[in-house]
This record gives sequence, C-alpha cells and structure tokens, in this order.
Amino acid sequence: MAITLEANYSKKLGLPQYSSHQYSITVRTEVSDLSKIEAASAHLYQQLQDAVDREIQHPGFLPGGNNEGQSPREVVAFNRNGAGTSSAPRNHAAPEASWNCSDKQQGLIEKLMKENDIAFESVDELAHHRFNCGLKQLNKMSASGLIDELFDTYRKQPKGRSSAPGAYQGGRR
Amino acid sequence: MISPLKPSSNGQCKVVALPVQSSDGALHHISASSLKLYLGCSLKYYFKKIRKLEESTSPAFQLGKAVHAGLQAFHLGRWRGSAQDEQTVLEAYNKAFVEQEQSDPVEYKSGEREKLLEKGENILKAYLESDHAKMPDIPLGVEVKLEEEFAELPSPLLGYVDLVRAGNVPCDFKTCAATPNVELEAFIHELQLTGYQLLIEEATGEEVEGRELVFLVKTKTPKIIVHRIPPATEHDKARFWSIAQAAVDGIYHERFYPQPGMACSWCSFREECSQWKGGVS
Repeated sequence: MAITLEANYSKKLGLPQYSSHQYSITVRTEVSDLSKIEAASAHLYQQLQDAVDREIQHPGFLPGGNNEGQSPREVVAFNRNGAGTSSAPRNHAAPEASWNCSDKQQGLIEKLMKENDIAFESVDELAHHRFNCGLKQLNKMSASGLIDELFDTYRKQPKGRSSAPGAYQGGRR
Repeated sequence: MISPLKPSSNGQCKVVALPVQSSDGALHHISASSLKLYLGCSLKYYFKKIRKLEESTSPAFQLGKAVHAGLQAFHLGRWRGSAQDEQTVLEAYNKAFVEQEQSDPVEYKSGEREKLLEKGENILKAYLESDHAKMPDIPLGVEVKLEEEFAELPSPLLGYVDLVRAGNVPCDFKTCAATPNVELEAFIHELQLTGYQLLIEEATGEEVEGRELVFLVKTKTPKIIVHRIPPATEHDKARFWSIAQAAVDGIYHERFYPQPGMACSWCSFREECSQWKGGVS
C-alpha cells in the first residue's frame, strides 16, 4: 500500500510600513513504505525551503516605499540564528557620508537649527562640549542626547518618555 | 487514529481571547518590557497592548515614576553641567509626582499620599548620598530612547535607557520594597539589559563594558544597592533573540491565552480573563 506524504512549507517576512508577505508551497507525494518517510521528509523540506526562499526574495509592491522617499526595507528572514540575514554593515554612515548619525537625526538637527536660527558653529561647539567630538561625528546615541537638549533649550517641550522628542527612531543609513 | 494533514491550517491555529481584536499595530516596535509582558502572560498582553484596557495606577508605580524623574534631573544636571543639587532633584520629583497624579489618579488610603511623598524624598536623598551618585564619570546619555531595526526581528527594537555610563554601560534604576536578591534580579532583568546592550552597540558601533542595575530600596532607612554584571555574551544575545522571536511570533499569530500563576494575584484583568474560554478564529 502506498503511503501519501503531504508537505507544506510556509514563510512570512516583514516588509516596510509594518506589512508582510507570505509564501507557501504544498506538495503531495507517495512513499512505498514507512521506512522511507524520514528520508523523503528531509528531502522535501530542503526542496521546499529552497524554493520558498528563492521566491520570497521578490516582495513586489511595497506600501509607502520609494514614492515617499524611503528606501525599501531589506527583506530579512525570520531567522533564529540571524544567519543569512542582512549583509549590510550595522550602524555607521557610509564612508562618503558626512554625518555619522542617522538621516532622520541629521534632518531634525538641521530643522531645529533653521527654525531657531542657530548657527552650525553653536551646535558644533555644544557637541564638542558634551561629547568631545564635532556635530557630524556624533553617533546615533549621542545625537539623540543632543537633540533632546536642543528641544529643551529652544522648544521648552515637556520632558517625559512619551514625548521625548530627540529620540532616535530607527533606520539604517 | 492520526488525523489527516491539513496544510492550510497546520501550524496556523490561532488561540484567541474574546472579543477578538486584531494585533495589527502591536508590532510597530517591540520593547523588552513588551516581550516580558507577553511571555509572562499572553492574555494580559492582549488586554494591555491590543485592547488597551485601562489599568489602575498603584501607589508604588506612582512613586517609581516620580523617583525616576528625580534621578533623571540629577544626571541631566551632571551631564549638562547645570543644577544637580538636592533641591533641584526634589523639585523635579515633586513636579513629576503631581503630574502623574493628574494624568493617572491614584486612590490613596488615609495619609498614604504624604507617606508616599516622604518615602520618595528619602530614597532620593539616600541616592544623592550614595557612591553611585558620586561617580566620577559624566554620563554618555540620560533617559536615552533608542530604536533600531535588527535583522533578527521583523519589528524595530525599542528601549529607554535610564542612564548610559562611561564604557557604554546601560544603567537601570529599580525601586523595590525589600532588599533584593541581586542574582535573581539580574536573571529576571536579563532580557531588558541585553536589549539595551544590543541597542547601544548598534547606535554607537562601540562595545558595552558592562550592565548595571541600581536598586533603590524603600525600607525605613532607604538603601542603594548597585549590581553590575558583565556585558552580554554571544550566548546571551542568541538567547535574547530567540526569546524575542518566540514572543513576536506569538503576538503576530495572535496566540493569547491565560497563564494562571502567582502573578494573577496582582493582575488587574482577572475579571476579563475569567471570560476567556478559548476559540479559534
């Protein structure tokens, strides 16, 4: 009597704007006896995983992607070991970039300088004073602290976790 | 008899709390406290984070928030070279206490408010006298919000670090009623501290030299206990990601169910919880 073996492999990945996409493959095969189930299962699993991984790298339409001036988030596998995940270097600006913090932080600092008519030199001096490095050399954590201070000084916004304005909010350069 | 395979539903079972409400939006970001909340009781997570049911504010929570505000004022003063004296710290504490009362009213017993206020002031005074407050190093960050995307998680990881000390050491202040078992506390808060380390490493590109818990013990004579642990190892980090992935996976697939235990004794959602009878959406 033939034994029917049905295998399904499914994977779901995160996409920008907190969306996701999912792809699954189901196959049905027959094995001649029980002793072959283990080998057949291992073979099917590998084949299905390879196939799903190959296809799911093409996310298609991305909501709020390039049209809004954002670069699409890299599709990364929900991988327990982190292996095979993003190859992009973590942290830090690209060598040619002039600011070391994130684009968002740079934009916010420049916006605050413009809105409050603060000279670049003043903020640069503040950065040197607080962090012993120039404004453009601030890392993301230091830039977050500097933005907080700029808000405290120029906007007088209430402090607090829920309203922490200078907070660095994600994104790789 | 073994049931036939149903690939369309296999592994997709959703155990949900009623009334059903989607967890969409819950994973805009994930914090260590959310992970801990979900893993402690997924149904409590559902009530708090998905249905956003109000939870009454306890006097201890009220005190903790206000004491944190006092500590923040102190370390911001040290960092920026501005006022950091006892009066400044207590003013920040009192202001936060009143603001917290206005936003989340607390039901005090007779005379409890005054005792609570005094207790907080005494804790802060004890802290200002402690060796920890006399640290020579200037903070690298105070009440730092960090949010980063990691390849290991589908949602950005979010963390607020009370204090970042020299050597990128994240420092978290804990108010507690009794002298803590620091080893146990370090184990309990490991997720939070490792999360902070990962965020700081990501934001600075530098190594973290340690992790620190500072307990402000609300005993009659307040005590300040500092417990520093080594930086998270690769093993610790792998453990963090696996725990985080388990929680995110559960939230994503809306697995919310009661987890009866000791924590039920102080849970605000026992009534809602008792309505739960399972179900598959």
